Amino acid sequence: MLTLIIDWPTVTIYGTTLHGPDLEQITNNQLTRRLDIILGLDLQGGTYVALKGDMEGISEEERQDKLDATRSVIKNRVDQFGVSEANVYTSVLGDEHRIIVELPGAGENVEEQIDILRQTANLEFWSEKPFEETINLQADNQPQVFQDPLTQYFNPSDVSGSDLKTASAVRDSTTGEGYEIQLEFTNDGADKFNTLALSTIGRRIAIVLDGIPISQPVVNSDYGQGGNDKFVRITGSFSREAAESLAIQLRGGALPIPVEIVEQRTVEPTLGADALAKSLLAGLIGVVLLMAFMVYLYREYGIIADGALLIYILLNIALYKFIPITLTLAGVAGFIFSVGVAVDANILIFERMLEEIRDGRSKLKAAKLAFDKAWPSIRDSNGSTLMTCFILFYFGTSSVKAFAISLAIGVIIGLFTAVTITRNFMQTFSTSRT
Amino acid sequence: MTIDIVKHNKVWLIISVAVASLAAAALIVWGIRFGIDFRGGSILDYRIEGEQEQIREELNSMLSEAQVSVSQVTLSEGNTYSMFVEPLSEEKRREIETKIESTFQSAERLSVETIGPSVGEELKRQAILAVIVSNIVVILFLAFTFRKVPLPAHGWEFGVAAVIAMLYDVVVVLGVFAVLGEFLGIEIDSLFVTAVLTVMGFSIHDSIVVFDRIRENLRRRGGEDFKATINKSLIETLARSMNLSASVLIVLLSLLLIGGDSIRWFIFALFIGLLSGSYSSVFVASQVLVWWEGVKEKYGL
Repeated sequence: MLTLIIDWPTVTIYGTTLHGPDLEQITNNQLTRRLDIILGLDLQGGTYVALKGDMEGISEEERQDKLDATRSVIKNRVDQFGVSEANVYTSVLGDEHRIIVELPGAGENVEEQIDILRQTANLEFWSEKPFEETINLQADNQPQVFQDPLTQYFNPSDVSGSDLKTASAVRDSTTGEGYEIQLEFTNDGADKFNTLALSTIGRRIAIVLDGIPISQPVVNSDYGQGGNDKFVRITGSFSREAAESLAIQLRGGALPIPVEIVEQRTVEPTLGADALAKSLLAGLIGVVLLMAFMVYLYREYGIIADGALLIYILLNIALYKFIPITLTLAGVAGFIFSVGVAVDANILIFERMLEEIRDGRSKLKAAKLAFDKAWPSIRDSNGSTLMTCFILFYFGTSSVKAFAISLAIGVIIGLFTAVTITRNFMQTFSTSRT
Repeated sequence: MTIDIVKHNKVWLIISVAVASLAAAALIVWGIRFGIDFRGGSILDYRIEGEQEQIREELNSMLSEAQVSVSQVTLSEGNTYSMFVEPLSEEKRREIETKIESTFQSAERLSVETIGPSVGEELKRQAILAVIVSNIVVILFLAFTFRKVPLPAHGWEFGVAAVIAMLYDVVVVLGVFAVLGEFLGIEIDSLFVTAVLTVMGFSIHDSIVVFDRIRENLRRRGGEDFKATINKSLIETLARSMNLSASVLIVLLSLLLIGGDSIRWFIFALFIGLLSGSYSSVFVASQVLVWWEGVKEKYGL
């Protein structure tokens, strides 16, 4: 019953849209997300980019850190595209250190986005305009014209990411509590930054990464008292995480490691939708034919098998939504294959039953015996399939993994429905008929 | 039942060896055509309306003009042209795309794919590793589940027989794709690896069901010899094997016919593998077991 509610699709018939029950309301918003099946890029369309990190000259221990730092820089950039549900993750295959970017949907400007991913980020320092200037600006403000708050309130400067040597999170020097970010400039950069800071005393300096301000510290009135220094600190009670993340972004002015595109796939949404529609239709027809075949083979017991099969499919879809499983073509294949495996359990039981009847047992007795006798082979064969799934998951590439997961889920649910549904149906059915 | 499948043990084994040898020969002579997932490269898929041969020629000359080495340009249903070329740089790819889109008014990009050459080796290595590990695990698993099987057979012998049947299925599928690669230019991709792994899983699954019945009958045999017990088990599970194969093949057939281009060869590989898998449980795995016990008996092992 529950699976019916979860599986309920949104159907539109002649302009009237039938929604499933609103699960968020029923559960008092305890669900943190909508229960929808998430489609992989090959089904919904989108772009998949694999960037290989160049790890030359970087020690083994540092590699994962560098890769993670690069990932967070790239994640920032992707977030700025405003693509919903974009994925950025790392993947280490043998010696290959990769960052995978998945941009779902129709990529109108996907080419530019890929360029942005590859390029070294642009780090700039802007100084806040004097108060009087912005006051005037607000006075003759024309509401129709949208002005970027950055250019409205700040002036660009000649200090850029190349002037910054490094940035790191350090303990608060005065109170010893909380964290600060220490910037170290190059010799040249320190001169430039000093000039900028001294002309901005009491106002803010915006640190801008790829056009987005990531920090806007105020230049203290006592700035420069300690003489010309290569080290500058951004103070304030930062948490350790916040300080480190800001330091990474500052260092990320250049990506921590150079990257190159080693793999790219773009599937237009029309093609993805086409593939999805075709494989769903094919699956549907296949299942209907299969159910008809069951009834042909086992008559009334075939209906039990069909009932078990339907519940099996509903349970599967519900789990896909709950976990959630991203459905790809390989995943669809795994699911369809698991339908075959689930049917096998039923076939084993029914064949066994027919055998027992041939041996002269009553239908009731045969129904009871059939399950117990068929069980070891169901258990062993599914057990070995399940083990294969684990091996595939462990060694496989992403599409093989998707296949392995959906097959494993299918096998487990198949065992479950064979034990609970088919067995109970069969016994009830046989009892009521005798 | 009067059918005696085991009596012609040698015949079945010879047929199976012959089929496997043919498949292996195709594999050795022609080899598998590895797709870009393995050797690196780019595929551009476009839908273009118009005179097909002419478009194909134009695409070919356009690519050679751009100094891109082309392995093939294929045409599939719905006026879809697939250009298989060397790995393209981002810039080169855009150059070609712009050219195609400006030459053909109706050109509609469906998908593009570029895979660097370094990835393939890793994929091959992983696939081989997965196969080896799962073989070992299967033998161990069967040795364990069949540890209590009555003599003369031992649990691990069931494992080895099942693995031989599985390798048979894998060779058959690979052989079929060697033929397809040679004559139809079909390339294998990473989905194909998934298909082969699935076939392996199914093969073992099917053999276990048959073995399970052999185990059951061995336990309660009264004076029957080993061969007769195996034969009885095969006959008893034959209906199930055929019904299961038919069920799975029904689903696969509908996927094959209407499932669309992207999974066609994947499903076809599964189709061949599952057919072979059903055959091999009865005519390879069980026959190897019979033959093995025969050898043991003959030499008094």
